[in-house]
Amino acid sequence: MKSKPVLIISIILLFFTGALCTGYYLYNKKPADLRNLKPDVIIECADLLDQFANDEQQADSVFMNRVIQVHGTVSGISTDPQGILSINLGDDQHVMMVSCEMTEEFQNASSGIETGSQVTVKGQCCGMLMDIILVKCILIN
Amino acid sequence: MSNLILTLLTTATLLIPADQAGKYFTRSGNVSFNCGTSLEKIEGVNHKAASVLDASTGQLEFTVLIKAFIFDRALMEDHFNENYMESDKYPKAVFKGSIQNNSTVDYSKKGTYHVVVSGDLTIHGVTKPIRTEADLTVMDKNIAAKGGFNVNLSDFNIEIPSLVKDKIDKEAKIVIDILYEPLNK
Repeated sequence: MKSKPVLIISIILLFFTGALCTGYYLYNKKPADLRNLKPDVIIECADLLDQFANDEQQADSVFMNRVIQVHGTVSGISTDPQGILSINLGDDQHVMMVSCEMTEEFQNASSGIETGSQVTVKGQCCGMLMDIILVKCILIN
Repeated sequence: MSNLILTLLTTATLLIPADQAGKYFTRSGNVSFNCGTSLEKIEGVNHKAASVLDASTGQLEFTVLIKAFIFDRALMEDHFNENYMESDKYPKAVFKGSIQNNSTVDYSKKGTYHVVVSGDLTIHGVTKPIRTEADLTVMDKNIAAKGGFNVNLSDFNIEIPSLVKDKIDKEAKIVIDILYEPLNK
């Protein structure tokens, strides 16, 4: 008879401990590592640029927040004042580029990439300013 | 995107001779904000700000995509975009203004110039005038700009739930760090 209240209390304690641990995990969880995510869209750089140039609103509805895997020609490497590196993909047919802000893990690997080389990058699409912007990017090859 | 930035870039590239451009731009400006308290660290950073500076007039435009702000924690990033900034509805923050004492800046002489910048800041669908100070450093070819200002979140209809009001400062501290390149190299 005594064991029943103990059992109930144990289950309740277990439940709350589980809830606390889950809450702690979710609270401190890092943003998604794109190495572990399948791309929502696989696309050529020129096609991505065309879609945004033709209809930005429509392109936002298709690509915004999605994990995009884009293949294209490196038109340059740029850094912000803090030294964060982006690989820019583009061609002579387009004024805009696809600007891929690389994650910390891929900063060094990206710095040696030559202009004119072909690369595939996976990143999260944020939309368009002067260029189409992908963040949290990783190199596929 | 900001049509002004694209129009300015396209027009300047086509019409203005390279040696008389006087226009500078960046695609990789750095904007960070901090609205944490002693109870919680809340910091986000954006490495993809776009900006154009017209040295001849002091006109300045600056745009960021809200979704390009990066946070240390996924939940913070989600709440920032979905609950506070509503970035699906208001994807960009824009500043359009000018350097008030532009005539005191000698863009042909290397050095650091303290400037006053004023204009309209649009965040979360609300536009407010702001006035702030910054340092412009003229270098060989490029211009570095650094400055900061505070934004009262309620001025831009960004609501802080009472449950977390002790964790989120009602004023966000914004820091801008830009390296402008000449528009025509």
